[in-house]
This record gives sequence, C-alpha cells and structure tokens, in this order.
Amino acid sequence: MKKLFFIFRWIGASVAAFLLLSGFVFFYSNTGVHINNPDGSTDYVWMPGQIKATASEGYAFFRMDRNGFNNVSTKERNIDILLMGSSQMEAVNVHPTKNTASIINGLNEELYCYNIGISGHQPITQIDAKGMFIEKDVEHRMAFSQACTNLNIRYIDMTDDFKNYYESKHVLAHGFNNTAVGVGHLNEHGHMLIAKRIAEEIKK
Amino acid sequence: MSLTSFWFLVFFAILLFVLSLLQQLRKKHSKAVLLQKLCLLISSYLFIALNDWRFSLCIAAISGFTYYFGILIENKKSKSILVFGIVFLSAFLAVFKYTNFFVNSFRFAFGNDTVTLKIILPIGISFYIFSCIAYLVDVFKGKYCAEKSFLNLALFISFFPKLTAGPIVRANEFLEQTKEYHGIELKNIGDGLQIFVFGLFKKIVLADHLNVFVNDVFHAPSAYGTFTVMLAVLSYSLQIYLDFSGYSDMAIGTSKMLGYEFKPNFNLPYIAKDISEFWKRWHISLSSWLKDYIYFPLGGSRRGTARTYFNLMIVMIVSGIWHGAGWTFVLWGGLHGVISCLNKLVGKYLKKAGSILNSILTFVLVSLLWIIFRAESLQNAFDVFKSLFSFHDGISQIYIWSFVALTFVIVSTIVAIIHSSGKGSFKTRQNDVNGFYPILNLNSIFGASVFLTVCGLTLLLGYFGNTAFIYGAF
Repeated sequence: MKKLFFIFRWIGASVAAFLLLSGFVFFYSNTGVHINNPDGSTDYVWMPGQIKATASEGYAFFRMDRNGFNNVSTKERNIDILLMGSSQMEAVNVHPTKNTASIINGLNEELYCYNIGISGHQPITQIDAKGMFIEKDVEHRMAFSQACTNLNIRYIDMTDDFKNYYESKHVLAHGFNNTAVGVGHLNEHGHMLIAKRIAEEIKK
Repeated sequence: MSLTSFWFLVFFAILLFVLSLLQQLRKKHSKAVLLQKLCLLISSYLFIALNDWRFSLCIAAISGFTYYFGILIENKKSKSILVFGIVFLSAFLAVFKYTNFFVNSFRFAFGNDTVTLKIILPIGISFYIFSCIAYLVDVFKGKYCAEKSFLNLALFISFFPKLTAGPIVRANEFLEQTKEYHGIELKNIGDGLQIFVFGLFKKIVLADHLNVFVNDVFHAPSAYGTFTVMLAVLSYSLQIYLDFSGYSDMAIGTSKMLGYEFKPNFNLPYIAKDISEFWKRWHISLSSWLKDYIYFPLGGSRRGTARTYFNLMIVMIVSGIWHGAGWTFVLWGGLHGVISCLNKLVGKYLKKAGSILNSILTFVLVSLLWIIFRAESLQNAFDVFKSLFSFHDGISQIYIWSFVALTFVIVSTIVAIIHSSGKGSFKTRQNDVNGFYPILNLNSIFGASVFLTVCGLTLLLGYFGNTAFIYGAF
C-alpha cells in the first residue's frame, strides 16, 4: 500500500511538472507544426493561424497568417512583391511589425509585400578580434551572385549596407541580446536595412 | 567524460544499480562492503580511462607512491623522507602541468619563439597531488595513521566525483567514511540528486550561457562599448562562480548518492567584506589547504608584520600558479597577495565604511582581478582594461542572461541571509551568512513536482554547446 501511494504521488507530481513546463514552453519556444507543401513554392508551411513564440533567440510572440506564413496583414490583397527566402526572411525572431515585409509595407503603402520566407541556410557576417567587420562565407555569396547573374535575376548585395551600418553605429544586422554577438538570424536592424534597400530599388 | 554529459548519467546509473545490488548482498555477506568499495575504485579508474587511459596509469603510480611513502613516513618519522615525498609529488605536477610554461618563459627571455611540447595533462592532477601532499604531511605530524589498506587509499585519491575539479578532500575526512562505509541509501540518493541538479542548473543554464557573451567580449574587447565590457566583466565574475560552485555541487551531490558526505566548497563568496573573507568563502578546500600546508608552515602571522606580508604573497602566488601555467595566473595571484597585504594594513579603517559598502568594494576588486585570470594573455587583459576605462563607443550588447544570472545570485543570497541561523538584526545575520542546499521533501507531491519542474527547466534552458568546466582545466 505504501509503495502504491509512492507511485501515485510521483505520477501526480509528474503531471503537475508536465503542465507547468508545457505552460513555460508555450511562451519560451513554441515552434509549432509543419505541414508539408511539396507542390507549393516552399517545402512546407506552418499550421495556419497557429501561435508561435521565440525567446531563445530574440523575442517574438505572434500568430501565423491564414496561409501559414509570417505576415501581419489579415486583409486579402493582391500581392505586388513576394518576399521569399530562408529563416532570415521567415523572421520568427523579431516582432512581426519589425520584419522586412512589414517595414516595406510601411515604407510603400501603394504596393503590397507578402512574406513566404521559410527556414533554410544562409551566409553570415561576423567581427574579428580587432572589432573589424568581416564576411564569413565570401565564396558562398559569390556563387549565389553568379547564379543570379546567369539566370538574369537582379541581385542586391547587402554586405556593404551591413558593414556601413556597423561602422557608423556599432550595430550588427544579425544576433540578439540573448545570443552570441552578431551570430544567427537577422535582428530588427537587419530587417530594417533590407526593407529600406528593397523599397529604394522598387522606387528606382 | 564530463559530469554534464549524457554518457556520465548512463555510467552513473549503472554504477548505482550495481551498488544497490551489492547493498542487498550486504545483509547476507559481510564481505559485500569490500565489493562495493572495489566497485567504486574500478568505476573511478574507468571514469579516468574513458578520458585517456594514460591518466589512469598516472594516478595509479601516484597512489602507489603515496601509499608506500605514507607507511614509510609513519614508521621512520623522518622529515627527509617527507621532504622527498613532497618534492617528488610537486615535481610530478610540475612536469605535466608547467613544462611548457617554464620552457617558453626561458625561450621568451632569450628572444626565441615559443614552442608547445606535446605533454598530456592528466585529469584532476592539481587536485589529487595536493590531496596526496596533505596526506603525507598529516601522517608525518601524527594527525592520523597511515592508511594500511591500499584499496581505501587508492579510492581516496581517485574517487571520481571529486577528481576533475575538487573539492580537495582531506584524507581523514574521506578515509573515515570509507572504513565505515554504509553504502547507498534512498534518502541520500534523493538529497544527492537534488544537489546534483542544483549544480547542473548553475552550470549548464547560467554559467554556460554567460560563457557565450564573455567569450565574445574577451575575444574582441575593443569592438565593444564601455558599458558592455563592464557587463562582460560582471558576467565573468558570475560565470566562474556559477561554473565552479555548480561543479562542486554536482561532485558533492554525486558523492552523497554514493554514500559520502563532503563539506560545501563555496559559501556565498561575493558577500565577503574583505579579500581575506573572500578566500574563506571561495574554493574553501583550496584556501584551507594553502593556509594549513603553506601559510602556517611558513610562520603565518606569528613572525612579525613583514614576514606576514611575505607569507601572504607566497601563498597567493602559489594559488595563482596552481590555477594555471601562465603569467596571467602569476600576476592574478600576486595582485591578490598585494590586496591581502593592504587589507591587513588598512582593513580596520575600511570597516568603518559599513559592511554593504565593503562587500561592494571587495566584489569590484575581485571582479577586476578576474579579468587577468580570464584573459588569454597579458596583452588581452590590458585590452579589456583599456576598453573598460576608456569610455569609448562600440557594440552595445545588453545580454539578458547576465541579468538572469545576477538575479539568481542576488535572490539566493537574500534567501541565505533570511535562512541563516543567527538571530537578531539584519546586520548581525549578514555577518554570519551561510549558504545551504534547498533540499525538498521528495515524498510530498509539492516537493516532487518542484523537483521535476526544475529538472525539466534545466533541460529546456540548458546550453548544450561544448563548454568544459573552467576549473576542470586546472
């Protein structure tokens, strides 16, 4: 009987701990559910309308749109600019109003930008021991640039924008205040710089 | 194999299972206790060999030497045998740990480039060599008898929970428990597991996250603004405390599960009101070793003021060199010595400033000295100091884990002050504050729920990059 009480006590404690931890994870790192999208423009989408939370790299708490992408607007509009890209564009690490698509929409109200960014891989930049801005993967960027040229796609290189911004303001385009410095995904400054540059190119 | 690795948990679970089987056997066969000790010794050597098989040969050689010399010293009562024993053990440590340092210091002095000789650094060598020296000295002084059982002495030297980063347990403390080994008990497993998880939380959740930020800033100090460098220095003070005390907690918790009780190695060091008190609260087992086996034999404070200062300098420089083979450690130890001397000289005047102000001043001093300790070179330390005091612009990183760790340390300290047994006013309690382990009653649903939640949080928030224990390198 004593052993039975012991087992029940631990089952009760496990359930209580599970509920507490689930509540914590909901706000700390709620990745969400993938839905495979083999015939679509991205490999997968997120479950439409699901809540996502990130606090392990940057901070964000938001709801995916009705198509399973990260967009603020709920209105049905014609898409003028389709923003594709990796997890950098997916932007689950910044507040939805501070990602590239939202900033472009704020800068240019006549055109509607829609974001279908979904996780992938990308080259990143970093600073060296003397605090100088360096690119970590130049070959990757050059190959990408060459591929764009071959396919007649206009390629905008953000390296100088990031570098100038760092050298004038000491602010990096990647990383958050809960991660290594300048490493990882685009932060709100990175999104702002990209959005401004795209908006400028569209105006041209 | 680190105490934070998954394979250690598997290794330890198997060991506990085997020991519990032998515990059952003890009811029928009195010899089963011997098997339990043998099991602990084999598992300790396995733990060492899993890091590098040559390390187990080193510790076996040292165990044999210490066992033989312990008996020899007891029989002959010869000081020269003791001196030979101490010199041999010190030389053993010096060869493995300091050869590159000595060679490169000479080469640098004569204008040659540095070289790195491929010499292994056996795991925990600084810790077990100090334990062996203490054992020989204590036997010579007649504090206790030389251990006649090689099994017991070998287990004392190689006992794996304390091997990597201490605490430096005294032989009598360990051997008494070994001779009357009670084996494993459910209550001890519950309490030890909680202490282990408490230490694991400090290590992988707090210290390892701080490590990310500290590494960034110390790698390129000139790139960061002054406030960020200040935050990094504060973060390192917290990191080294949480890392090392976390390891000590895990070692103490592991030992408790195996049936051994060790005293805490840290006692809220950052509330110390002067540098002398800091060393009574920080890495207590090393501080008391240095006091008992270097400071007192040199005469302590009984041979006049000048000799006291000299003794303090020697002790602190030895402490610095013990921590690492590099000039940064020598300088760090030397500066601690200078501050200890200054404390003896003007400490009584500073006491009038009030205990809280003195605690802050001591913390700032200790934190500034940690810069030298952490720096990869004297130039790197200079760069950090330059960035710290030049008030220049640079990257601003308000690292959130620094504030999480700071809150943890402050709240723990306040809880310890409230919990302290001393009665009377806040001021009275502050003078006699002792840390404690928050052990819960795992037989209650509340206690078990909180414990499981903390385990879950530790796994969820833990940083699982490659971050070794800082003191494991010493």
